[in-house]
Amino acid sequence: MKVIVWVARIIVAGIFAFFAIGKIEDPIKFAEQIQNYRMVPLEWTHAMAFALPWLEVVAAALLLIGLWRAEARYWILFMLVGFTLAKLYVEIIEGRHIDCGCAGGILKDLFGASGEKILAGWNGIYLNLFLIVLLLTDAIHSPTGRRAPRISVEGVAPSKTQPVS
Amino acid sequence: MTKSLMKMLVILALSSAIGGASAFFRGLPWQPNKQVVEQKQKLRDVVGERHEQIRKSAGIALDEFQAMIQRGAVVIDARTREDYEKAHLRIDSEPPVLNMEPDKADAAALNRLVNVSDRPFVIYCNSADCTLGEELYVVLEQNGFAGMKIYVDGWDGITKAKLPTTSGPDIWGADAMPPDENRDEPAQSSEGTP
Repeated sequence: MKVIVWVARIIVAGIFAFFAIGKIEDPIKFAEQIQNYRMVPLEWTHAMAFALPWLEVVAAALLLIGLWRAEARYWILFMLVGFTLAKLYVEIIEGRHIDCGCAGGILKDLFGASGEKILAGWNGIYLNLFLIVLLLTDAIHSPTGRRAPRISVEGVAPSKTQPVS
Repeated sequence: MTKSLMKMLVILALSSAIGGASAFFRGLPWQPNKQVVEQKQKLRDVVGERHEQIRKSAGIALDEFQAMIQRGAVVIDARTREDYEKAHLRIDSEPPVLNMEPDKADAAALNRLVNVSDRPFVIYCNSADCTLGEELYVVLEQNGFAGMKIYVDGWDGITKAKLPTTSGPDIWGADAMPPDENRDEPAQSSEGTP
C-alpha cells in the first residue's frame, strides 16, 4: 500500500509542479486564461496569475517532502475541485469552449500548436478528476498525523494534565 | 483545525510573496488593461455566436487554398507572432505571408492591407480547432474588408501537406507598423516542414 501512496503522491506533485512551470514562465498568458473564465474580477486576474502557480509548486513540494502534508493536500484538493467546477460551469452551463489554462503554455512549448489541444475541452476535466482520485488515495492510506497515545507500563496512557486532588 | 487553517494561510502567504516578488522584479503589470480585455471578450463572443456561419461561408480546404494562392491571394497568418516567427507558409509572390493577430490588428496593421485590398484575402491559424482565424475574419469585416476566406486546417494542414515554409519576422510594409512592431531582421527561407 505504501508504494501506491507514494506513486499517487509523486504523480500529483509532479504534474502540479510541471504545469506550474509554464504559468510561472508566462504569467500574463496565464492571466488571460483566467480572464477567459470570466469568474473573477478583472482587477484580480494578474495577482492570481502571479500567486497560483507558486501555490501549486509550494503545495507539491510540501506533499512530497512530508512537511505540513495534510495542509498541502487540502490546498491541492481545493484547487483541483475549484478548477474542475469552474471548467464544468463554462463548458456545460455557458457552452463556451475555452483553453483550460491548466498547464500555462508548457504543452505548447513541448509539443507545438497541437500541444494546446491535449487538455482542451473535457480532457482537462478528466485529468483533474484523475488527480483528485489519486490525491484521495494518498489521503485515505496515509496516517492522520496524530500520534497514538503512549502506553505506560501499567497500561494507562499518561496524561499531561493531572486532575488536582 | 485552527492549527491546520493557520498552516494553510502560511502556505498561501508564502506562495503569494514569492509570486509577487517575482512579478515585481520582472516588472510585470499588476492590473490588466480593462478596455483591451473587454474588447477581446466581445470579439470572442461574436466569434462564438457566428462560428458555424463563418465556417460555412468562408471555410476552405487545401485545394482551394492552394488555388487561391496561385491566383495571387494575400495570405494572412493569424497565429501569434512567436509562432509566425518560428515558421510560416512561404509564397513566392508579393506580399509574403503576413502576420496579424486579431488582438493586435490595430489601424497601423490594417493599413498594410489597404494597398492590396483589391485582391482576395485568405487567413489561416493553427488548426481546425483554432478560432484566431475567425476572430481576424470578424475584425477585418468590422473594418470594411469583405470576401475573406479561412483555410480551416491551418498550420496543421500546411505541415501535413508539406507546403514550403520559412521563418523570421513579418517586415513587409513595416513603415505602416508602429515603432515597436518594426523589425529589421531578414527572413530565412527553407523548403518543407521545419
